[in-house]
Amino acid sequence: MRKSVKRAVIAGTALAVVAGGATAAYAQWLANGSGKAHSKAGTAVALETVEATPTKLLYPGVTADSAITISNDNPYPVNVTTVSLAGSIAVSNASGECHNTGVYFGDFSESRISKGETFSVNFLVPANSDASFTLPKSVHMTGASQDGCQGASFSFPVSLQGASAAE
Amino acid sequence: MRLAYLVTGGAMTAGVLLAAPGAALAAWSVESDGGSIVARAAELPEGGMPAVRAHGASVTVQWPVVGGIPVDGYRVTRVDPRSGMTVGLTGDCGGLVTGTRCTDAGVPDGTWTYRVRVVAGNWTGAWGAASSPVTLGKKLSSPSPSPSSSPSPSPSFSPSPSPSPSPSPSPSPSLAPSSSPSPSPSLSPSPDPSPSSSPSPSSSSSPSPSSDATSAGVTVPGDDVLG
Repeated sequence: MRKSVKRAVIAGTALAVVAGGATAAYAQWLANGSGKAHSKAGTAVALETVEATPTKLLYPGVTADSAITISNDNPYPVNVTTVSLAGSIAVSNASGECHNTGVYFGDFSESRISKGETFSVNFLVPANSDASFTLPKSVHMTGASQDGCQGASFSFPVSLQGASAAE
Repeated sequence: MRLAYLVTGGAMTAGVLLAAPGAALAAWSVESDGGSIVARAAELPEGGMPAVRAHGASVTVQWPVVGGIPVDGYRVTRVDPRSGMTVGLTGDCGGLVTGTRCTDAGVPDGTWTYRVRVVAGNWTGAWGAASSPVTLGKKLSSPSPSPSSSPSPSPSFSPSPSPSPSPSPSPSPSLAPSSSPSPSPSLSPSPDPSPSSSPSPSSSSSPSPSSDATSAGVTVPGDDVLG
């Protein structure tokens, strides 16, 4: 083999390795990205939490499940992996003083002490559709809830994180 | 030179194919654009109406379990129905009662009602309906029962004493004049007590039955069951 051919083979191989590595790195970034996906091919549409509410009324000492409906307007299915508390609790329609709501969001599957305010899930939402799920033991009201909290409504913001899933 | 291009192109293709599994693992990261979980708190029901039963100076209070919400217990209060004043209880009925029954001991004489409310954590429900009144000890407001009981025995006793006094006084005055002439004045004091003592039983016997009946009507046993 002539020298020029050898050089071409070496250069081509190096190019291929570099190109392949770059693609792999890009793919990895997409899989672990914490923000919305960035791509020339299209833009991921944010998921929408249509409805989320505990399955029963809250009272001191109760731990309730939450029913959550997620809307996915993307042309591909999305696998939701975490549901997290994303702000403070707002109170309305309290019958009296209700500064200490006693209401907490998190994973209470093991005890009355939350494992954290991030709930690990595996919810598959089909493309361009809504799907409903249950977050078991995700809301808890302690006995410290003030008397004036009777009949009140509590709204606590949540955020969802997920990734596109294979069809 | 052509061979060099071919080799280079093939190597690049192989590199892309090698990277393909990585590309297949790629996924669009998706988040939500907001959303909230909206929860609503319950309201405790009011306490049930208790049933009460008096035993001497104690009152047993029993009430129904409230449904729907598990509660920590109940609070019980005693109320004077005339003044509306509530009495904080101690002992078995004091503080948080975890069951649905308690005994209020050392209850003062009088008429009382009882009320119950539900407790769950820091929450308290509204006071429930008052029990039926329960009365302990002698009733202080006696005028109402005494007239009804006094007339019934008084007519039955009135005819019987009337014939008895008439024969007894008649012999005693007849003896007094007969004894006085024959003996000396020393005998005169002996007949005097007999006339004075004989009329007294006749007059005292007729009113006594009516007064006994009145006092019997005042006494009311304290362990009547109301409600």
